[in-house]
Amino acid sequence: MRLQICTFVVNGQHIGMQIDAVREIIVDMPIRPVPLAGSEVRGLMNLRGQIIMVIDFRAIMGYANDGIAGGKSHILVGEGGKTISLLVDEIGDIIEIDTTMCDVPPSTLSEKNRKLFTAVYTDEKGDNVLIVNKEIALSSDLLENLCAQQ
Amino acid sequence: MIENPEILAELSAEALEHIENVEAIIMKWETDPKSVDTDDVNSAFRAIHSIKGGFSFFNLVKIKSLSHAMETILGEIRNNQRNITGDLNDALLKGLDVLRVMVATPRDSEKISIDDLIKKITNATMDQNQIPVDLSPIVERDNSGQLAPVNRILQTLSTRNMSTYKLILYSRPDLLDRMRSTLDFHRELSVLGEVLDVKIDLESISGLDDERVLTTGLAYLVFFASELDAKIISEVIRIPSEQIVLLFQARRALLTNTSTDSPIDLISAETAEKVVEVVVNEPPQTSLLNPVLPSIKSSTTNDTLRVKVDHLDRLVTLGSELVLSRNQLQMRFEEIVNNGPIRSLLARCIGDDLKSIEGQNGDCHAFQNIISTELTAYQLCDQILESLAFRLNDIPCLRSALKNIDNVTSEMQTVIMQIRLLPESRLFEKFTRVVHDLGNQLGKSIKLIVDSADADLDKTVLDAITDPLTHILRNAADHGIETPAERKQLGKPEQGSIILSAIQTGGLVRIIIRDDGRGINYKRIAQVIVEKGLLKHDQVAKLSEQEIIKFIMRPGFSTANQVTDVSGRGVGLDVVRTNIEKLGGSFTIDTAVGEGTTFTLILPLTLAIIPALIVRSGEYNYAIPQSMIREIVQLDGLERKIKSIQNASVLKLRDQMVPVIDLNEQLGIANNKEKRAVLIIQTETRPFGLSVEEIADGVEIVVRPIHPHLKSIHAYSGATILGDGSLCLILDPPSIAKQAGISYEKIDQQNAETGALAEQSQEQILLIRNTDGKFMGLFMRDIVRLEKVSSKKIELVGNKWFLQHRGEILPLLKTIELLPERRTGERRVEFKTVEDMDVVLVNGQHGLVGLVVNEIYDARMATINKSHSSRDGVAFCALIDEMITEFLDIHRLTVLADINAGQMQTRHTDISNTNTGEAAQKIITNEGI
Repeated sequence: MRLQICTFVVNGQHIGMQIDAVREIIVDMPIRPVPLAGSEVRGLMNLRGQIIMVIDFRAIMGYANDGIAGGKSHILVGEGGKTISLLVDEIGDIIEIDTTMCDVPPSTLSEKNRKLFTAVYTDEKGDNVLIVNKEIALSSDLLENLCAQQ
Repeated sequence: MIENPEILAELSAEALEHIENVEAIIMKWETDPKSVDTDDVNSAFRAIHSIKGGFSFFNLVKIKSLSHAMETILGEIRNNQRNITGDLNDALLKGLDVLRVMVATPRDSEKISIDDLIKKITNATMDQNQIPVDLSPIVERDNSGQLAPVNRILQTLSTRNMSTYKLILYSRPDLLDRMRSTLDFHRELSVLGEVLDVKIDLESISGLDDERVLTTGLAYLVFFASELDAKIISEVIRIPSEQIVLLFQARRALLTNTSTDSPIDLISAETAEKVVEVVVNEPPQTSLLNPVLPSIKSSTTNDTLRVKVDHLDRLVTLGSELVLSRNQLQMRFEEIVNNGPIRSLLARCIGDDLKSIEGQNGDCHAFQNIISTELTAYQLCDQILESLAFRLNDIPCLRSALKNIDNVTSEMQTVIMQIRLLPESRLFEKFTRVVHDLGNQLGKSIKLIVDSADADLDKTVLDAITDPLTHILRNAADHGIETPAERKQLGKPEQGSIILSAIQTGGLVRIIIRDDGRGINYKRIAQVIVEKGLLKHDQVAKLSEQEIIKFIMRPGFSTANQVTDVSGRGVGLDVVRTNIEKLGGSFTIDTAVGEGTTFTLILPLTLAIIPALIVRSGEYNYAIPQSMIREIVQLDGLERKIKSIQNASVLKLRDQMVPVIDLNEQLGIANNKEKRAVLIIQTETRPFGLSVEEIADGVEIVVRPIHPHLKSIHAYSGATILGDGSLCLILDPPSIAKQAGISYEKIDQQNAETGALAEQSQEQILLIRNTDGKFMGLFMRDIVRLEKVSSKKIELVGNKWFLQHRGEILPLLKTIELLPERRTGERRVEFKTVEDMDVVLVNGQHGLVGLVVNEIYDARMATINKSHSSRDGVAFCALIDEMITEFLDIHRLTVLADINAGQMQTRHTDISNTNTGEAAQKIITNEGI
C-alpha cells in the first residue's frame, strides 16, 4: 500500500505523518503562553478566531525542555473544538511511501516513542523517517496521554 | 421500510416541534375556545398528519395509530362535528404526551401500550351529540374471504368522513416510468387511506394486440377510501387527476351542500356518482384542501430553520474575527493616508545620513551640500506622499467600500449575536400547559396569562431559568391561588390567574410572575418559624414583614399543610434563589395579603458576552469577570498599601482586613514590578484581594472554552480574543484563592483585631456550618487559630485521634460525633476521605485542642441572647442571623471525648499561644499607625 506522508523535522529527526491526519500547516503564529500549564503546552494561538492549543512536538517525543526556542511551524491535527497544533522545527516535503518498505521502529527507542511511531522508512536521501501512529495523531486524547507520561 | 437513523432523527426533531405547536393550539382552546380559528385547527391537523405520514414510512405502527386517532379527532373538530370540551382537550394533551415520548424514542415506541389512550381520545366526547367513531375494519370480509355488502362498506365509510374513489392506474406511465412497483404504490396509497379492492381492468382490453395496452400497459382499478380530496391524492401518489374518479363523496361535503342535518341515507353507487359530478365541479373547498397539501410543503411555510449549534458557534467566531480584520484594515488605511509609517521611515533615513556625517570631520561645504540634498529629497518625498494621500482619499470607491465593509460588519455582528437569542415566548407557552395540569391536579381553576413583550433570551439563560420558573409557578398554584370555593367566598373570580410577563431593559430582562391568590401570610410563616423551633415567639414578633417573608427562601421551609405532589417539600424557593444568582440575576418577592404575590426575576440577556476587567501581569493580559469584582483599590503606597503579617499579605479596607494574594505569584510569573491595584473579589464566604500589576481596561468579552487538556489548571475559566486579535486568558479568582490556600488564620487575626475595637455589648463569634446546614457557634476569644489540615497529618493513636501540628501533638475532637444524636444522618467524620479539614484550635482546660468541624462559615460580630441548651455539649443556643445557633461548650466536649488532656499538655502549646498573642498585638500596633 502506498501512503502520502507529510514530513517534518524535530530536533534533527525526520518524522512523517499521514497526510489525511493533517488538517492544516501554518507557520509563524503569535503564541500566547499559558502560565501553570505543563511544559508540553507552548500556549494558545488564534487561528481565524478559533483558540487552539499549541503542543511542542519535542515534549511529545520526550525531549527535555532545554530552552531551545524550537520551530515556528504548526501542524494542525484533530477535529473541531479539539484541534491542536503540533509545533515542529521545520516542515519537509510530502513524500509517497510504500508500506512494504517500512520497518518497525527500533526497540532502542524509548517506550513512549515506540507508542508514538509505528514505522520507520528510509527515504531516497538515506534519512530515516519515523512515521507517527495515525491513531495518536488523530486523537488529541491519546496525544495528551502521551504528554502526561513524561 | 426505510432504515436510515439520520432521517429518523430528523423526523423525530421535526415531530417534536409539531407536537409543541399542537400543544400550544390546544392550550389556546383551553383558555379561550373562541380564539381558535380554522387556521389553528388546520395547522394542528396538518402537524399531526405530518407525524403520522412521516413515521408510517418507518413502519412504526404505534405512532401511526395514535397520531391517526388524534388526527381523526382534529379532523372532526375542523368539520364542526365535535365540540371542544375539557375532556377532549385533556385526552388530546395526554395523547400528545405519549406521542412525544414515542417520537423522541421511535425505536422503543412499539413497546408502548396505547390502546386505552386511543380509546380515551376517540371516546372523549361520546356523551355529546357526536358521531361515535368506529374503529372496526372498514372492509369486512366474511369467513370465505368475500367482501361484505357494498352498502355496509359505504355506510362505514360515511361515518368516517371517507370518500370512495376509483383510481385507474396504467402500469406503463404510472408505475414503470416512475420506477415504482405495485407494492410501492400500494404503500403510498395506504398512507393516505384504505385500499378497498384492486383488480385488473380486463374488460377494457379487447385483446393482446390492443394498441392501448401496448402503449399504456395493463390498467389496474383501485378502489380506495380516503378523507382526502381527489386533487390531493393525485398530487401525493403522482397520477393524473383524470384517473381518479370519485365514487362516493364523504358525508361532510354532502352536508355542506345540502345544508341539512338529517343523516344521509345510504346512497347507492349510481346515485353517488351523480352527487360526485356536482361536488367535483365545484371549486375545491379550503377545509378539504388545506389539511394535506401544506403538510407536504410545511417546511417551506415555516419561518424558522434548524441549525446545528456548532455551525452557529463557528459563525459567531468568524463574525468576531471579521470585526477584527475590519479594524485592522481601517487602521492601516488611516496610516497610509496619514503617511505615518512612510514619514517616520523617511525621518529615520535622514537621521541615519546625518549620523554618518557626524563621523566625517570638517569640510563645511560638503556638510552643507549633504544637508541641502537631504532637505530637497525630504521635501520632494513629502510632496509625493501628500499627493499620494490625496489620491488615496480621492479614489472614490476605496473609502466608500471601506465604509460599507464597516457598516455591513457591524450589522452582521449584531445579527449573529441575535441568532443565539430565542424568544422567551417559546418557553412561556410551555408553562400554559404546566399551569393547566397543575390546576387539574390541585382541583383549582387557574389561567396563565402570558404577556411577553418579545424579549429574546440566550438559549443558555432560557434553559437555566426553566426550572426556577416551574418552581415559582408551582408555588403560586399550590400556595397562592385559593380553591374555587374559597375564591367565591372572597368575591374573587373562581378562576385564579397567574400573569407571566417579561420586560427587556438594556442588557437585562425582568420576568414577573404575579398571582391573584391569597398572598403570603406572614403571620402563618411566623407561626411556622416558631413551630419549627427556628425562633422564639417574642423574637419573631420583633421581625418586620419583609424579614419574615425572607424565611420562605430558606432550605426546608414550607408552610403547606401537607406535602402534595406539587409542592410543600420545602425544597423550593431557596433553590430558585441560588439558581438565579448563579446566572448573575436576582430574585425578589412582594406580597399583599389577600391580593396576591409577585415574584420578580432579573436576569442578564446572555451569558456568552460578559463584561470583564483586563489586568496586566508580566507580559500578558488577563481577563476577570466584572461580576466577581466587588471593588478595585488603587494602591498609592501610602495609606493604601499591602501590608505583611507573618508572611501573609493583607490590605486594610475601611475597617476590614482583607487577605491578599498576588496574581504574578500564583501564576508563577516574574514578580518584579510594583503592584498598582488590588481587586477585591467577592466569594461565597469572605472577600479576598488579588493584587495585580496594572489594570488595563474594561471590555466585553466572549467567553470561549479552552482545550480540555488545560482544564486541570484551575486558574482559568476560559479564554477570549481581544479587540486587537490577541488572546487573553480568563481568570477564575476563587480557584486561584483556593490554590493559594487562603488560610483562615488571617481571618482569625483580622477578627481578633476588630474584636478588640468592637463595642462591649457585641461578641466576636465564629459560625460553623454542619452537614445538615445547621449552625454552631464558638466565641472568638476561645479560639487560638483556624487551620486547614491535611488528613495526612492525622493519626489514630490508641483509640483517639491526634494531629501533628507545628511539631506539637494535639488531641482532635470530632465535634459532630461527640454530640448526642439529634438527627439521623452521617455522623462519622471520616478522616481518610477528607483532603482538607477545617480544624478550630481552641484553648481547652489543659491546653490546645483541635475541633474538627464541617465547614467554617463566617466570623462576625453579634449580640448574643443566651437561651436554653439543646443537648449535652452545647452551652446554650442563641439566635444569629435569624438562625438558631448552638454554642459549643468546649470543656464539656473534652470531657465527653474522655480526654485526659493533662497528658497532652506540652510546652509548645504555651509558646504557640504566646506567638499568636504577639501577632495579634502586632496587627493592632500596625493599624494604630
